[in-house]
Amino acid sequence: MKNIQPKILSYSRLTNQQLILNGETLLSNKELSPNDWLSNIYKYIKMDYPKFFKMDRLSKAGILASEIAMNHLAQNSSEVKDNWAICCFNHAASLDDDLAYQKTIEPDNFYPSPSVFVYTLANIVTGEIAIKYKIKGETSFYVSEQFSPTLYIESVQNIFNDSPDIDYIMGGWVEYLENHCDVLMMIVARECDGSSLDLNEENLKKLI
Amino acid sequence: MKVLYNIGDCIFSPMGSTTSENVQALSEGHSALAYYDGAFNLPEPFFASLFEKNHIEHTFANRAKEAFRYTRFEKIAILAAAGAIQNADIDASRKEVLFILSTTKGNIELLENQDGFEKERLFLWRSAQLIAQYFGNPNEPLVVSNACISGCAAQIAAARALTNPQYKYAVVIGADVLSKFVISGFQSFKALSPELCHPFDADRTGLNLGEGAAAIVYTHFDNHPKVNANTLCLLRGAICNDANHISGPSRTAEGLFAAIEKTMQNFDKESIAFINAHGTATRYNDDMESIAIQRAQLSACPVNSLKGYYGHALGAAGVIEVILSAQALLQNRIWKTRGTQNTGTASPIRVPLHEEKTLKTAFLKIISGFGGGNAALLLAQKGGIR
Repeated sequence: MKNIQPKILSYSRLTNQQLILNGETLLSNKELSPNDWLSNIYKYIKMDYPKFFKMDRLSKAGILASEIAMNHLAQNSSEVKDNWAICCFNHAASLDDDLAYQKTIEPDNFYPSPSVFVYTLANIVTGEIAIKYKIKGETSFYVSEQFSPTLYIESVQNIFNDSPDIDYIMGGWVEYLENHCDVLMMIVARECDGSSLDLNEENLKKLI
Repeated sequence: MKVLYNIGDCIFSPMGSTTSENVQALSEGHSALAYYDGAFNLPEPFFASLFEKNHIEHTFANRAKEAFRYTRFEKIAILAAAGAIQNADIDASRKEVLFILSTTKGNIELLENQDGFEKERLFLWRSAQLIAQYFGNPNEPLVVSNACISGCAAQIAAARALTNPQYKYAVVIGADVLSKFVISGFQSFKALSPELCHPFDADRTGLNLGEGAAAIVYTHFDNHPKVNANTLCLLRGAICNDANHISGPSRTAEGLFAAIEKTMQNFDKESIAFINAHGTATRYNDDMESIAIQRAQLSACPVNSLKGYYGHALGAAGVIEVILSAQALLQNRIWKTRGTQNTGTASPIRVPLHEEKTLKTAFLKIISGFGGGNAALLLAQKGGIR
């Protein structure tokens, strides 16, 4: 098995308080509600993607963080990317949406909606990212108690080792539960020249 | 990908409590699907494959050693894993064993009635920890939640995890239980059939859901005492996204076709005995699979679906169906597609309506799901690998 040292080409960090790109704070939030904060970021980065408004908050957070990391790379985001994969982890799976859906099936208030139900799967956020950037490689979603740099690095290396046709992996940690937002979205390359960050435990601990 | 050997498996489903009970029921043409009116307090009736009331509790109480309270979901996962571990004859409390759990919704029914369980039980990682701890296993389990493809994705995850020298065995468990939450959601999608499902039928009317659990113990050691010519090997697997729609398949079967191509690369198509498809009996899924099969030039190969027996068991489907297909191969059989009379899909495919015989030694498993994911797995008997 080839020993690969993947590199982090760019990363974004999104919490209720801050939006960070490659270590630099782009926006801070003091008074906006969690929903307004996400909409505000959408405007700030001049995103034009009407589907965004139909998404659940987990997908919104994932898409915004991906867009910021992607913009930095000057990639043609509308080009088909069959050499890209997506690999995400989180803590609560789709529990934020599960709680919302549960409210629609109470005995005295029964009106289940397919547009809410569809988001009650953890991996939908990876599907939304795949659609937005036409990523046609693997999409994988795992659930863990907390973000494990060791496990993330292993997962990335395993995808690169297993799939010689994959050169880039978008992903990281994408969590949204009851107004708590915590996203680290990285674009990792199999190999690249230049001064990009190594994907290693020390660096990941700093980023999260 | 590393070749994995199945050294023990178990299906705990409404069809039976062991792999052989399930195979027996399947051979006799039984189906666990039944009509339910008023179940889970749902206003609309539905067809599904459900465990009989108290069956899980009774079975678990008879086998389990401790008083700790587990949920229905955790119990079926433990029962399936215990069966597989017993067949494999391994000590699951050792550090060389990794548990991998595939599920879509875990304990989601606790949202309606917490039943005295702590809130933490809503988290999939918590259930997985408790399942692994039941066996005294010290490792943090891996949880795969990739909608309907989870069971196959978990087997690919096992092949990858076993490249880590710490591990010798992976216990892959697929499990999901049905609830008001899940059934009402599929009803709101208008995806459920008002009758027994007819996979790949020209007049198919939608899917039936099912619940159940299954587990496989995989190792990558080909010199393991349990490995022989009949052992089923997971040779390759791939996952590809359609990048098209979060709840509908690609019209051109983009992702599934790509996953099959990657999996079948340089493998002799002639040695494939059958393709075990997802075959949910929804119009779009079955058409999409037929298109992928045709594009991959596999139209001559028999294609079956087991949904007429089990319904769609969500995170368990990929594990249950791989085990049953392996058993078919071992007995030189191709399961029929129960419930289907007149095949009719966008691309013509060959769906056996009666059981057939085969002397071939490999099969292809395909599966697709919400979020645009598609997976393909190639499995073969060890003695048949050229």
